Amino acid sequence: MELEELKKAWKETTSEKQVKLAYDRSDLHHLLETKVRDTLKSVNRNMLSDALVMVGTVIMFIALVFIIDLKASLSISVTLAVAALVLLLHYRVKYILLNKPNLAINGISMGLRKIIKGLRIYITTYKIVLPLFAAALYIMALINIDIYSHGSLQWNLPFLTKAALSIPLSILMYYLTRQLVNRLYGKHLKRLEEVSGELG
Amino acid sequence: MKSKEEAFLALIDEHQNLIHKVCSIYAHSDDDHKDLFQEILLQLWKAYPSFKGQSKLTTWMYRVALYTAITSFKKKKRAEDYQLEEQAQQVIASYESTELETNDEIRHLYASIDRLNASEKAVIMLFLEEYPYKEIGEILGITENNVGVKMSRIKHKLKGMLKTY
Repeated sequence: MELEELKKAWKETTSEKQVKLAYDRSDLHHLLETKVRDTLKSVNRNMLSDALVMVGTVIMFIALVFIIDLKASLSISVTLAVAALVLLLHYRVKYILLNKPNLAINGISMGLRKIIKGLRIYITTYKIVLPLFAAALYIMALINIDIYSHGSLQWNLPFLTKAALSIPLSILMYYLTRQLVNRLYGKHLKRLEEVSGELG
Repeated sequence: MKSKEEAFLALIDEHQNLIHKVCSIYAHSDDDHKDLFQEILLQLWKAYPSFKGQSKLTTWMYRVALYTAITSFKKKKRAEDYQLEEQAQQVIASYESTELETNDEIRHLYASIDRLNASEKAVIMLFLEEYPYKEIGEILGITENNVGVKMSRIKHKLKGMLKTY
């Protein structure tokens, strides 16, 4: 066994491998940002499934409205469809905001901080907007029913009592949304924060 | 922040051969090599702010790279222990496929190195890189004497392994 011979062979094989495997600057940057990209991919996947579930739910509700043949089926359907469209637009805006920070231009740490901030705003908006939206839909449905039943809106005690139910409904929706959002994005936010801590 | 990143990547770019060498000795496939390279890169990035230049840059880089490789090797080895023989054959095959005219003895020597434990691999790699025992000791955090002892143990081990081929 000749270790000196091995040294020579080692030099030759490693330099040969080096040429084959050498990374350029952009490859190196890409390797460094892979952890961030992987976590972002999961967030994007969840946002997409979130949006699809929402669209599916709206379609189901519209179908239900027609099946039970509600008097205001058309206006309810239009309201639901508009709501779905607004939410889809919201998803799209958030998708762009989350994926916009260019890690190569901003630097990974700064880009990551922007992404985390974006995700936090998204989560907070989701938690506030969804319960308010549910309450608004409930009140709109009450108004529609009242108008169809009496020909005009009756500002009486039974109506106001029913409308007041939108408050506990909002609170309930807030807790449900918080659970849902934490389940969908909580671990990703945590992972991004961890990566941010790791990468300084 | 951006300039810190740029400085770091310039440094890696300049010394990436060092990381590739560490990966070569611990990885068994191109995918393993890439994964390990990435892990070392991240660890270097994490450690970069604490590098104050008390030691040579390459010493620091080797220290971080080898520590990362050894940790990941130990983790992986526990899961893949039963594949040891297969891996040794892969190592022989990978050197057979190079254009280099490596003789059988060298190929088997590489395969034997592959069967060394993680810290022995680090010692032999730095030896092959012609680092003096003192510097090997500095990189691995052991004394110069200890490096000598480890080296003679490794040579003895390699001789024994080569007899089996």
